[in-house]
Amino acid sequence: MRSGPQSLLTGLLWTAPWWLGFLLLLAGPMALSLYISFCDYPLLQPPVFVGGANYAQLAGDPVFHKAIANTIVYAALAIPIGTAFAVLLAVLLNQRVRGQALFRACVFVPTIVPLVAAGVIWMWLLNPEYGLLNTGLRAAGMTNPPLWLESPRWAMASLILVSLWFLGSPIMIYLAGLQEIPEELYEAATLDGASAGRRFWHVTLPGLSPVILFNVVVGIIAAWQVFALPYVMWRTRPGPDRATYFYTMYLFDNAFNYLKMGYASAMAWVQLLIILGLTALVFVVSRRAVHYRGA
Amino acid sequence: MSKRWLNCSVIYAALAAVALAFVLPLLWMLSVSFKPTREVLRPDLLPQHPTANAYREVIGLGAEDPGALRGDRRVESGKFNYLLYARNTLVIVVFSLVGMVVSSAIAAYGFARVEFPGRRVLFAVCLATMMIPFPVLMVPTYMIFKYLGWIGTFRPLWVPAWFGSAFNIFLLRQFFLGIPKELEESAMLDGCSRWGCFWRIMLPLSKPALAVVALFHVLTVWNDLLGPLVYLSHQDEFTLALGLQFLQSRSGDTPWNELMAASTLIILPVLVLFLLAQRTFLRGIATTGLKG
Amino acid sequence: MNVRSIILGFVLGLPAVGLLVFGPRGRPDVPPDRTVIRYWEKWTGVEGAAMQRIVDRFNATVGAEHGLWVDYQALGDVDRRMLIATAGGDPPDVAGLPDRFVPPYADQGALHPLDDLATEFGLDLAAFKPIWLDICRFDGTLYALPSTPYTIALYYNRQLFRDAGLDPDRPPRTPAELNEYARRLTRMTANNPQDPNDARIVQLGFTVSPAMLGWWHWVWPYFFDGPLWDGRHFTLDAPGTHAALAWIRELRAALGNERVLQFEGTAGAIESAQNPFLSGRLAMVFQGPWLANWARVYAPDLDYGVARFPSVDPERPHVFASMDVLVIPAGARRPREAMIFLAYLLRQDVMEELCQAHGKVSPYRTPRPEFLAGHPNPHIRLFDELAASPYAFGYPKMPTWAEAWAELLYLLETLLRDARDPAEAVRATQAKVDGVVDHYERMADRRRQQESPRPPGASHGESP
Repeated sequence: MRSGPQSLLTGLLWTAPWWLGFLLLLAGPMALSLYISFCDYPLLQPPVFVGGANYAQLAGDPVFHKAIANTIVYAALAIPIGTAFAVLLAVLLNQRVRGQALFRACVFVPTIVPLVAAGVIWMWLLNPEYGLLNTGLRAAGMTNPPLWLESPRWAMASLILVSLWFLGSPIMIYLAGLQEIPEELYEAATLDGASAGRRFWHVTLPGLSPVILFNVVVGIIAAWQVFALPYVMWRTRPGPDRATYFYTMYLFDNAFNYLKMGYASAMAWVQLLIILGLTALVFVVSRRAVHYRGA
Repeated sequence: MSKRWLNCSVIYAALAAVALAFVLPLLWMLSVSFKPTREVLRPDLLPQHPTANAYREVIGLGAEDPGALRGDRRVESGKFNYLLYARNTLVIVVFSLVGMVVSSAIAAYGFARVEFPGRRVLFAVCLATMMIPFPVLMVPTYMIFKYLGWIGTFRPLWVPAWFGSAFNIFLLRQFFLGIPKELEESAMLDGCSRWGCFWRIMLPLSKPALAVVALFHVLTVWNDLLGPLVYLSHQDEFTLALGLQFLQSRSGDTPWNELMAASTLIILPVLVLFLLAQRTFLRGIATTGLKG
Repeated sequence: MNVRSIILGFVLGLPAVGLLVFGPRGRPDVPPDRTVIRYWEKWTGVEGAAMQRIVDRFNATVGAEHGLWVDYQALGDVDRRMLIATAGGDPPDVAGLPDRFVPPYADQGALHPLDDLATEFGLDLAAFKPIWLDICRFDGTLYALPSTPYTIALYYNRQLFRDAGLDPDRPPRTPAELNEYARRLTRMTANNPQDPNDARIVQLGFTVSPAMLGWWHWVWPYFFDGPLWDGRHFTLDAPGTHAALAWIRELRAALGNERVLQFEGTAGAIESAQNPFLSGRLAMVFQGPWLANWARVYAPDLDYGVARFPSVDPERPHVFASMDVLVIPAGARRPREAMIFLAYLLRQDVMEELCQAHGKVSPYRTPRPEFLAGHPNPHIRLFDELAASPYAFGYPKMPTWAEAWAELLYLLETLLRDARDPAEAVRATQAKVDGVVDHYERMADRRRQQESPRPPGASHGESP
């Protein structure tokens, strides 16, 4: 059963749905995009091989640097804040109270709002003059509330705020993870006299750790690919002083607005390497912190 | 007793505050959807003269021509046609759902439980595919589907689902890893095959996770914009999300109330699905007999 | 099965099955013996309905004669979709694009050259105003045909003019005068005159803010005799630009830049629901003829006038002119059949019916009287005359315009926020765009050397 070729065959058979799709639909386009990243390719004419010129140009492109810096700041803020927020909300929503389903639905429903509509809704809520948020802040005594979307200083904060609204999916995954933590562990901890805080720290968090790992990895990928929401909210502009111009937006502009598919492909491969590196880092760092009960 | 009561009320207050914060933007959406066109620009929280006209428009009841409801005439250009778009979206969901769940589960089981040389590498590649930005794959992928003659059909939107998705494989693998191996090992000692273990032990135990995958898939299809944007070029084939994006891209005269009414109608079925099914996929493995 | 599943089945399953079985189906009702011409456009709503009416009429008359059937499809982002479909080898037969895409797409060989077809189908190109035809040409070749054109003028609120003691029949004639008017038309809350931070602008005279004006942040140097493109080079770092920037900064400095930024941040975009001109918070605005349509819906009582936008020297009346164009993508399956449809569309009565419904001007030299008389914009004559100005200008015909556009947007945004030194910033932008243009030219040269046998303007999409 454990012998080499035999188990390889078994493994390949089980994973066939994925790698067949990979070979048929992804590998070709990926290889092509790798080749194109070494070419000048205006999309409508055949690619011309230019060696590493695209990669060299990236190193000296200030817009690229700005986009990468924005993306790093966004990821560095949105992922930790989002994770902490989602775990806490999941624990809160896991409390057995009447109307639990309704509360869960309230938190989840924003994730099913189409991004286009969500972008428009938040443009209104964050409107500095009429928006609900600033109306509230003024009522609370703030004389000059932020301009939010139109201020280079607050644009990023606005986006992170909106990203919290979309945490329904990770919260649901955490909730499902919470169901898997055996009740006995809590009972034992309670018998040992552990406070609610200690139970959370010593039982809940370790129990959730595989799920947290999953969500962080997905979060990293999502943060590096953030696109649609800023695209809608800033009406396709790069935000005030490019404050909300992210990696994928610049990539998209290069591919379809500037007709530099080669440059865009080089960006894509750099992005892939960055995300791979970050994910590997997260896996290594988390090796000690993540507990698989099954393993 | 009173401490318990206090605890309870604190939890309620927190829950209520959170729920309100999450729902408030949606209430605003609902309010705008009931505003007449002239009030749409005003910042008022509630419509002064509420009307369901926007809903009539996006469902097709507002049209003077009663034939519009039967749908046997061309879609009026730029009008949101809820019933038609919902049907198109539903077709894609129906054709792809089973394939997505089953294929993802099989592959995830392979990555979680079957030990074979190169598994880690293969899994890493699988994860990596999640990270490729779609824009660069857009044109080569388009060429493949064009070669197959699938442009302008729903096939580019549902056939790939039958190969699973890296996200769902990853999600299910994480769940499978959380299920104790002993169950399978004892079953195998009793002569159960790998497939039998998967089909008779793993899948029933993972019902909540499978429900999550199914729900996420429905959501993804329901809201997917880029795929339909690239492969569908006929208004008769539009999906809900594409129709909505199209409504918003109307230059200058975006009908905000119709946009919000359409959004409400798009959300409604998924919300009902969630309300009714959430217990199923959150019920948890604890209650299905798996402890420790 | 528990109760919940049963409810689930009834509430969602039944309607879903019902919708699948009995729901409406998209069935293009093409008559059997017709050849389909695929036409992609961006218009929906009122604009789309006007085009659909014309298409229906074509299908019933000329189309029927020739055995053609035009399938009108309105799509979002039609330029990008056409690009992907053309690169993928499956373009539509006709596409309606914004005019700024003609130079880049033509230079990449994505557009079918139209000179020969126009001659063959007897199009009288001389009947169009020169500016519109010029926009359709690139490198001397006709790549597009005029569709709905527009010029941009200065709208001003006559009531606010009167309130400020200005003559509503004498709009500003020079940029300096515009600034002077704008100062007088700006009103602030005067809570505490000692504390400048306390005063807020409640009504602004005029603004060039990209946050509010959207697409036209780059036009200002033109009104100071400073074009951005000489046919080969990007010419930003020139006296016209510096004069324009000085003009922009002068007004903002006079009003208090912080306050103007605060106002602009709160006022809402011109093309959005909160259009501040319509609500009387902005006294003058740089806009096209369609604004009259919005005014009718959202501000029916607004008393406004329209004038040519001031140029630094009234002897050289610069006018920004732009339009939508019709193209046949390279590799289209039926260019000749498409041309039959285009010829019909460009008949003066048909085209003017379309332009009128869109609230735009006519591409023809001499519009028919019924076009002007029945037009929804009462000031349409002015917009039409502006297009005849010998100093009318369109988008710079740079194949690399999209990137220059983004750089110019960044330039203006940072300058409006006083984030950079103007002379320095202009130099940097000039250098950046020069680099883009150089790189583009270099690659175009290399491509020409590598595959010299191919005629210019042909793309790989056309090869069989």
